[in-house]
Amino acid sequence: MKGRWESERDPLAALQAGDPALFEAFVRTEAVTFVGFFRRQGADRAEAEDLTQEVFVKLFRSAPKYRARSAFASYALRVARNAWVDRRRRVAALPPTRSLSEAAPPHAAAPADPLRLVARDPQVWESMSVSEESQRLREALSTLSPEHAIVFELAVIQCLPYADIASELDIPVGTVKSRVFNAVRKLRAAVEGEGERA
Amino acid sequence: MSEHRHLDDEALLQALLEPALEARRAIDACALCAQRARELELDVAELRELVELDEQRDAGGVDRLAQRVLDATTRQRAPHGAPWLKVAAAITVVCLGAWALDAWKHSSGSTPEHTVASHAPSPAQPTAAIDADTPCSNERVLRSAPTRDAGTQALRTAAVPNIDGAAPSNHLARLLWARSRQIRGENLPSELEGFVPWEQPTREELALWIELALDRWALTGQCPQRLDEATDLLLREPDRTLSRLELYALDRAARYGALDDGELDEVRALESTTAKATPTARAQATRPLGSAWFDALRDAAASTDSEDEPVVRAWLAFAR
Repeated sequence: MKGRWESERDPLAALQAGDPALFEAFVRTEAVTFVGFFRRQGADRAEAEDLTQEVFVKLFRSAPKYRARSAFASYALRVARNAWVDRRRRVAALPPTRSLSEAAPPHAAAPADPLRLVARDPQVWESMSVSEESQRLREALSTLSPEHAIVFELAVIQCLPYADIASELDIPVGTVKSRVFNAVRKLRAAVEGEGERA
Repeated sequence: MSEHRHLDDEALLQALLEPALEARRAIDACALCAQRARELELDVAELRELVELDEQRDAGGVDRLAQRVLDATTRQRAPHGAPWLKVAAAITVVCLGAWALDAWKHSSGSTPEHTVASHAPSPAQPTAAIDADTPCSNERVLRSAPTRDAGTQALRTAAVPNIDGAAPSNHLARLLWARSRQIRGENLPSELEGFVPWEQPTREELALWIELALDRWALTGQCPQRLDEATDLLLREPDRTLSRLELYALDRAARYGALDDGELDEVRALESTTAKATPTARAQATRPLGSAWFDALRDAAASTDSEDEPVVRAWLAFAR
């Protein structure tokens, strides 16, 4: 979580103490963060909202047994990441009677098609005022592997320390270092490249 | 003295993303490393900016989503006799007691000192309906409705100290006093509506007034008529050294569209020369009342000897 949730204010600890206000503030403030997180991983808007709701409900239900072992932001992001991994698994396990465009998450198909994400998002068709830069970023993000996308999200967007990311993802810190750098380099090149073509 | 070994790009990026003093020193000690770090810093800042724009674009329906989540969690109807009902009943009793005490204080004519309530998230309610087409004479501000919406959302859910009592005489404290009241749903005192009402406000005071004016715009849609005057004063200072509090105010004003392109370039250039304006701080500064803003406030309070003012203390304690 960017900003205020870096502090020690733990909404689940507050819930345990009988105070729902902090959790409610967390929901109102960070809903957009989670929607953005899932969108950057490759979800469309409706899916991102579903997953965001799922994460908040899971967090809420976990409150009675919750024991703070790490920063709350790390914990919440782990729940979000698990929700995304589960969703991808469920989608991948769907019988092949569904169309590929419905069933396949953007990272599952081999060569990533930068336009696929845009094409399957009905909101894009609703408005031509979509920021060109945002669209370029989303297209660029869809070209990252899931491993690089998650590391970029946690290190660059959510500002988690490399050691925490390594621990969360169960990979060496050196791997985090190289993935972050490669993700930044690739995104930067993609954004620049699109900009030159535009 | 050990010989300097250039940091590779991966290490430089790590040093930028999780600033460690030792790595920072190593970067600063070498012109080549510093130059490369600067390039990477700009790359990261640009990517974060794009992500921020993207999130702002998605912010539209998020209020409804949050409401759905609350309906499914904290506001779900509980079974009869649930334990939380007992807690709610206890809170009601406490609130009634507090209300009775307050009423007694008023009736006995006692003037309350500044008191600071526990920092529950603000229930701030806008005093006017917010409309993206709110008339405003400052056309540059009008252009930034989506950004304003994101700021509005952040402010509505912001947790700020609940400060009672009369306006303090210390200027910095008075601005903070007004800010907490406004965010918690009260009107901005009329003396602060137009512009900083006292002669020769300091730059820190100007920065806080800009934040106040932008809060008012975000929460109520009331146009900050003399915002340009305040931003001009900050940008036209001859020594060109801006504190972080000033930078955040200008950066926020820029995000609301209140600076023209030339002024925006100026702010970005000044930002890049401010050592503490790291990309992390920059990302945090994009939200009103982010943790980096509280750090900047702490610096400002120290530089103006206002740390011992009760209202300033309350704000700073709140940031911990």
